[in-house]
Amino acid sequence: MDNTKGKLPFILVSPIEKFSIELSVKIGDAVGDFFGYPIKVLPLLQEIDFAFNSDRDQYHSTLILEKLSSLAPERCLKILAITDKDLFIPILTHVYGEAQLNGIACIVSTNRLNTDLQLSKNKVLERIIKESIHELGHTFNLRHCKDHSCIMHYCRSLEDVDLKSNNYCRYCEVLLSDAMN
Amino acid sequence: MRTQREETTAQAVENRYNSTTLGNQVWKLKQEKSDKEDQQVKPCIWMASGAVAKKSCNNFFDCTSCKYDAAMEQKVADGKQISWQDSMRRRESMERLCRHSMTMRMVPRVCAYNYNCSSCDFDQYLEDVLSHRTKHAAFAIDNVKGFNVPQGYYFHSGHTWAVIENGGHIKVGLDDFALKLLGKADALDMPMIGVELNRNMPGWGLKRRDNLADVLSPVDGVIVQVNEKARRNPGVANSDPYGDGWLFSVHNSDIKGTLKALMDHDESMAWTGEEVNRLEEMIESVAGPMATDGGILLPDIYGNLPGLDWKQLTRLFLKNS
Repeated sequence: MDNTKGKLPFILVSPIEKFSIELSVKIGDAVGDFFGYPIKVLPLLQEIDFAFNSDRDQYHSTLILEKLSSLAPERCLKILAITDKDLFIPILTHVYGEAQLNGIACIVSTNRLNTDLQLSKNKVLERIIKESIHELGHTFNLRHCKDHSCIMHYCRSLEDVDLKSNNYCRYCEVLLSDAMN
Repeated sequence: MRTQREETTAQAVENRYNSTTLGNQVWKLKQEKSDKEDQQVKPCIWMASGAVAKKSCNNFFDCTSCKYDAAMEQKVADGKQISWQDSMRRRESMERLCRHSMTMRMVPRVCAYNYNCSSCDFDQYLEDVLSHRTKHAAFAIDNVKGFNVPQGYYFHSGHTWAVIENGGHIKVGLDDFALKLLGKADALDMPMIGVELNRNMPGWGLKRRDNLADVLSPVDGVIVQVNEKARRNPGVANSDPYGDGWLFSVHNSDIKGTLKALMDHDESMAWTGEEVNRLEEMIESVAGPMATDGGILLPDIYGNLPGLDWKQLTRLFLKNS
């Protein structure tokens, strides 16, 4: 998928290791429709072993973000990396995703978004898209929102993720518009 | 053939023996069950013996501070009422349950002393040793933003808890929030048996690296037992804060008045949620705004985030300024 012809800035969706290109394209479509930017799907990292923590058997997402931001191609506005590996930051048990606040890179993990085998693929995709929009929101300098239905609300569990809507609340929408302009 | 009264009593006794641990009632200050239901699960010893037809216990099976028991004893002295002991003595010898079995502090055992508890060595052993060594039965535990809040426990805003044991003792300890926040203590500075605890006053202390912190007592009362296991290994409190990790057993003759000053389950749940919000604000003030989603705070938050200030943490959450 590459609709980035010309000189417009674009959002880069970057599957990590063997993450499905097909699913990455679907995520890219949804994110592109939401933010209105062209989307490019391109793997930037072949492996993320450098971020692996053997004590926790998880990957340190902050290290991956640093690496990704150093690899940003020209005209790339934001990078959304997608992985099926389990991510963490030191004070939390795990994260569904992390972003560089007002930065360029963010990452979403599908590892804990698809824990129920009976869950439909659409439901899992919906969760991944919610998390992608949430993390991209952080890269546009949006903070967590107290509104439980806002997509920028901080979720501790999948129940929280399913409960929140797939849109910004009116206040976050204004902040996002300011940031994008 | 059993009479209906005997059937009721037998059912009630069976209900109480579902767990073989001591103290497996969920005592709450506000009665939630109807009196009829309570008669089934918490029958007064006067009812269980058959001396009266209906009476549920509302004093945590602590007969020593029970007004109803005192009034009934007076009626017995006046010759207007059969005592529960005499009522039990009318039974076959093998059906004469120990009073501690009737009040669910002990698995079924037969009284060998004709209900002369004052000369019973088992009675002394239970009061002095057994009851304090037994952990509280497992309660349903709710989780608030990653922190456990058990039902039937009462919370103090200094992140301590109190729970009523059968027989009227109060166990106290540190809550899951405080233990996850401060991590495993290197040492607990716990007072001796017999020392008086005063609510809202420093009751004991904990040490982590070079840091010390006073912990406010959630209740008034005299310490009747100290959890030596937790004293020797403070990590026990972290791994099982509401079970094996209890710290003291306290005696207070006014249990209801004492616990009224604490938060009940609903209040504790709401308060814990607010405390987590405050903690997250504090973490962001140190580590910068969190730009993540998902996950809950790992135990030993202080140890995992060196920028956190011990004094500020303990002042804010243990209220020990």
